[in-house]
Amino acid sequence: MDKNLKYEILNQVKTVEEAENLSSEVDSILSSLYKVKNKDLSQILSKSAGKQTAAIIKSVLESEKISESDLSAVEKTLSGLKEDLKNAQVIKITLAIDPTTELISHIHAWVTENIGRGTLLETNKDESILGGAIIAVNGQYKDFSLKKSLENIFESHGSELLKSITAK
Amino acid sequence: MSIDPLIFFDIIAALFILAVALAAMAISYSQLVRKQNSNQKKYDEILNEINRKDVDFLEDARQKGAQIIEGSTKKAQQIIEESQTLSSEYRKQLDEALETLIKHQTSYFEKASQDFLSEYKKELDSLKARAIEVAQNTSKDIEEDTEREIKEFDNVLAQETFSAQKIVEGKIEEEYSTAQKEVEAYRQEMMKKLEGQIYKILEDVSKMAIGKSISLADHEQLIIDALEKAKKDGIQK
Repeated sequence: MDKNLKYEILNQVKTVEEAENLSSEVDSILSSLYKVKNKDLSQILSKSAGKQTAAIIKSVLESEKISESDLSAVEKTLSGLKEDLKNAQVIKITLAIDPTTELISHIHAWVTENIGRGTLLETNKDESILGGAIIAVNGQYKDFSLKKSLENIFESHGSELLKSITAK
Repeated sequence: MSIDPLIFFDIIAALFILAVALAAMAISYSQLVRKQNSNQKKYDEILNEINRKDVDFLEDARQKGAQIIEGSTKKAQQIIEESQTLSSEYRKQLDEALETLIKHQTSYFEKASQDFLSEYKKELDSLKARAIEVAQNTSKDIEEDTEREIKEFDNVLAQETFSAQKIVEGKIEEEYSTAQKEVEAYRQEMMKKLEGQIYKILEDVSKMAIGKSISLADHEQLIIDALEKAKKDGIQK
């Protein structure tokens, strides 16, 4: 598969959850490919995959110039797609809230720019971090949470704060 | 048969000679027997004489012995009688002598006893005086020794007490220093804990206040700020 195309497809898949769903749908498609009752790929896609997944797969097959009737080539392409999803780099981000789609897109854009294309987001919710984000990627761990900031403030200026409180 | 006359005469001559020899022998034998009988007779006579003499001698001896015994007995009786007489006299004399001797000895022993007693008393007094002196000296020595030992003991005790006091002082100081350190460490620990607890309270209060007051937009902004910080911090591919 063309690298740019691969990134283009993967760019539509932003989170690990989405990648897992896509992978699951690809599995379903692959298992339906050689069933007698399924007449063509469109029918299979409409039965086994969502609209977005079907659109992704069709665009992949079109760009690869693979005939929908060439089930063997389709199978190979889908297996390749599945493998790419499996091997995609993952960045783990811990947030204090459940991210909106807009926020996910924003974060993903940032990740694509700074970490690289084809990176998937794995978001976790932890209210105790109060705000900000904890990022873990490629063995690096960066805590930019509000909780950490507060802790740093109390660690470096705790005695001053204590004095100011007791003085009052 | 005829015999040669020479031989006949020879035999007659031989027989004659033999007869003569036999006759001579017979005579000689008879003389010898007579002589022996005579000797035997003499021997018997001598033996009888000896026996007779022995008997006489024995009789004489017996008589003489009897006389001696009789004389001796008489003499012994006489001696005994004399000795009995003498014995009473001698006893008397001996008693007198003994009495004199006893008196003499008694006076001598009395004097000797007196002398001995006086000597003994003197010696005893001397010994007593010496004993008293020795006892006094000993007592003095003991007193001096005791005083000296007490002084030495006092000194040693004072030194030991001083040393013990020093050791105790050292120990107390050491213990005090350790206790101070421990108290200080404990104080520091407690202060740290207290500070930690205060910080925690402050932190919790801040978190509660901030957590409740942050809007979704602020959250998003904080997340974007965090991402920017990560970018500045050099998060790498």
